[in-house]
Parts: sequence; structure tokens; C-alpha cells
Amino acid sequence: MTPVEALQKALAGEHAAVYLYGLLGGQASESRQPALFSRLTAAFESHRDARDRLTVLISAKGVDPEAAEADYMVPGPVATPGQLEDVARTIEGRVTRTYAELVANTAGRDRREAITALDNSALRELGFGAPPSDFPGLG
Amino acid sequence: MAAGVAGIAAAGCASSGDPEGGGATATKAAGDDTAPDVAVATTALGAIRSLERAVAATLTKYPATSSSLREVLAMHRAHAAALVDAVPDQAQASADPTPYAVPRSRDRALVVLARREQGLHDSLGGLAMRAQSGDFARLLASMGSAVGQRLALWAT
Repeated sequence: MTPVEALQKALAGEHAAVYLYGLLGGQASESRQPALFSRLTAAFESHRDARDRLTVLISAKGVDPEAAEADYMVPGPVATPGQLEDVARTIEGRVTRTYAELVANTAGRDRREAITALDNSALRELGFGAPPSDFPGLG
Repeated sequence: MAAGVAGIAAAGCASSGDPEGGGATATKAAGDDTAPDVAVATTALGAIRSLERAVAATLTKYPATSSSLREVLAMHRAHAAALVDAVPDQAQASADPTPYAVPRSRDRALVVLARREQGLHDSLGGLAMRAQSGDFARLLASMGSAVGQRLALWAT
């Protein structure tokens, strides 16, 4: 995988995360589940920022950034707070693996960005109730 | 998990994938301590074992310390196991086994330990930047993120 391919894959992951967190936020109640709503909102904003950074990064390499798809499959039911957290954990697990892959396929500043993003998504996994892992993003 | 990761580490040190995607550059066998990734692995293993000793000593002095510290110790051991095959025996034998001086107060001991864990997190990120092999960089970055997760839980 070339560095640009890895960056495009990370961007595709962020497009999906932004879409899915938008959907999850719409399912959560700010008044009844304020903590969950706040975590979902923060995750949405983090992924939106990451998507924008990756778009700029890829454009700067003279390549057209991957466009978002029209919609994305939701990886589970979203009727209850527990289900919302389950889906958020799934999203973050995928993003963590994608950034680990980005670390492996980049160097220099791009790798540094990937390492930071890997750290952040591994922490968000915890925030949605995932247990700590000895090797986040691997396996 | 550790066995699979050990394979990655060993492979990462035996052959250096070009992170720019321009092909692979063969390096010398892992036993050659001039190979750049062997030097990175040796540094990482030394840093991890130093923390492993510090956590173990703290647990010995304050056995009632929370079980999460035992999980931190297990994490360090898993990380060390993932690297040990990539580090030449003589480099491991020459590592400085300076005993860790546990602070007299338990609270202070945990503060000092957390600071050292933060240092390890930062070091692993820096070593991931230096790694020539992409797979090895991924392993080190993942280890750093694992330390970051433990630190986040530590604070709660």
C-alpha cells in the first residue's frame, strides 16, 4: 500500500465515522443521556476535524481526496444507549486499525499524524466502554 | 496476541519495508546490532523493562495497590515479549538492571510511576517515528497507545 493509498483509506474511514456519529447523535437524548450525548458529539467533532485534515493533506500531494459515500451501513442496532455505545466502539475499533495501518505505510510528518490519531482513537474506544488493549489497532 | 506480535517485530527487524512504498530494503539479520531497527528495538525493550521493574517494585512495596497496576505490569510484559526476539542476546545482557527506588509514600510512588509511564508513551511514539520497517513502526505506535490507554484509566 502506498502512503497516498493509506491516507485515502484513513479518509474513507473518517467519512464513515462522521456519517455514523451524526446518526448516533441523532439517536441519543441530550436530556436523558447527557454524558453519552456529550461523548458522541465530541467524537463527531474529532472525526470531522480529522477528515478535514486528511482532505487537506491528500490535496497537498496533488491527489483528489476520496469522496464520501452517500450512506454507510450502521454496524448494529441503535435503539438503546448500550447499543449506541456498542456501535461507537465498533467505529472506533475500525478507525484505530486504520490509523495503525497508516503508521505502517507512511513516514515523517504523515506517520507522526497517524501516531497521534491512533492514540486518540484508542482513547475514544475506552470512552465508549472498550477494555484497554495491550496492542490497540493490531489484530 | 503476543506471539503474533513477536512475529511482526522479528520480521520488522529482519527486513525493512520502505514506508514510502518504493520497495523493500533488506537489512542484516536481527543479530547484527548495526541494523537500525535492531537499535530501535533494543532501546524500546530497555525502556519497557525499566518500567516493568518500576511497576513490579511498587507493587511489592505497596501490595494493596489497585489491581489496575497489575494489569499495567502484564501489559509491559506482553510488550517486552513482543520485542525480545528482535533484540540480540548481548544487548539484553548488557542492559543496566539498576534497582528501582520506590518512593516512601504510596501516593508519591503512583505519581512518579505515572510520570514515567507518560515518558514511555512518548518514547515509544518517537521510536515508531525512527523505525525503518512500517510493520515495526505500527507495533511500537500500538504499544505507545496501549500505555496511553492505561494512563487514561489511571487518572480516573
